Amino acid sequence: MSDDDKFDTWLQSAAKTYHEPPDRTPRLEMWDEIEHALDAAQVTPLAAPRERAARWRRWSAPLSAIAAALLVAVGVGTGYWLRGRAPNTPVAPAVAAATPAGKTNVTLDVALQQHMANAEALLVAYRGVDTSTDAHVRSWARDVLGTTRLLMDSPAASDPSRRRLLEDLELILVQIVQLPDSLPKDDRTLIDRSLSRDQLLTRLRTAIPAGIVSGT
Amino acid sequence: MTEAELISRAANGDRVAQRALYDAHVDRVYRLAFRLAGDDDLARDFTQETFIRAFQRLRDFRGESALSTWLHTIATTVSLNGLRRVRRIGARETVIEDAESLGSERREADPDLRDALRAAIDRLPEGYRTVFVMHDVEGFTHEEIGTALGIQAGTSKAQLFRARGRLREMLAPFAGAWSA
Repeated sequence: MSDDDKFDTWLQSAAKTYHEPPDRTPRLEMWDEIEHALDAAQVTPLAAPRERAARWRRWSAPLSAIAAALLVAVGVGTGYWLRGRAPNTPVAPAVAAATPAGKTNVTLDVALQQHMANAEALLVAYRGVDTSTDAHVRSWARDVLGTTRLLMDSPAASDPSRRRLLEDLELILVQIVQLPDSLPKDDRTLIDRSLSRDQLLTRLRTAIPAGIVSGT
Repeated sequence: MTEAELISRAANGDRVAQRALYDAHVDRVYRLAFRLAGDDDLARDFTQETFIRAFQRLRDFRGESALSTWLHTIATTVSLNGLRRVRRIGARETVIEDAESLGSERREADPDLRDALRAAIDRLPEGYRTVFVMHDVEGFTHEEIGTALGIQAGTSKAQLFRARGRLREMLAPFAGAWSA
């Protein structure tokens, strides 16, 4: 057995001690919290009108996704630079508080708004496409998912409502990315319903100021 | 009652069915959250948020994969997002310190090497660490990991290979300890 093999064997055994959970799962305590939250939640499905994607938007959007990703990268980088910190360095609250929010976030805000516009275009396109173009939309969704995660790890997500929006967007995008090639009609209905219930498109549009268009 | 029937009822708000699904899956979700977070409070928060989100979105569950796979997708998303938040406010060190005080009945391993291993895993890039923890620590398959993280199974394998390589490099000062 080579050293590498011995290491791998040892590693698989020793790694079991990493963050070893307690023997007992706190089931009852967690269930109480879950039940309370479910009771308190008001889930009111909205019958949002089904929207059709404009043809130009559907086909121009993938190109604009690349431009948006570049803009986001510049925005995130500038945001960190203005904070005088390396991208992987955790942002200490004191430092964040000492930085003028307006100065720090202008570029990042633009990048975020551009991303929101792109995400909105994607979701509208997703709702409008037929199953033969799903692979194309999934590829686009994968790009938007990557940018979403980049933004979630940036100062742009420090605002709680923005973070929640990005998290909900991420979850929907993961589902779209995982879709099979042939998507049954019923599944489309379910995803459309999910989009409507979460009001994701409405929330995205609310976050996009007038004048911001995907790809601009 | 089958799981499909439970899901159908739970999706319509049947609390008994929701509790049955919770009981069936909570252990593994909590274990995964704990492995990723290394902290009981965080693991509880992530587990609770996972089930709250799941029950609110259960009508979206298409049944193409097992419910457990779908839950693990939500659990990893919730946990990784939560950990990013924690890191951002600089609380990570506290989390690790707290984790060290938990689990008094750990498996036998050289204390120095065990600590070094834990520190090395913590230093892995997030993607590598997540795949490593899910595969080598919690025993998920690459297919399950791929589904949960929205990546290809091949990508999961590649990240695990690189993670092990990084760990081998970081633990080089202990070379020989594992071959004894």
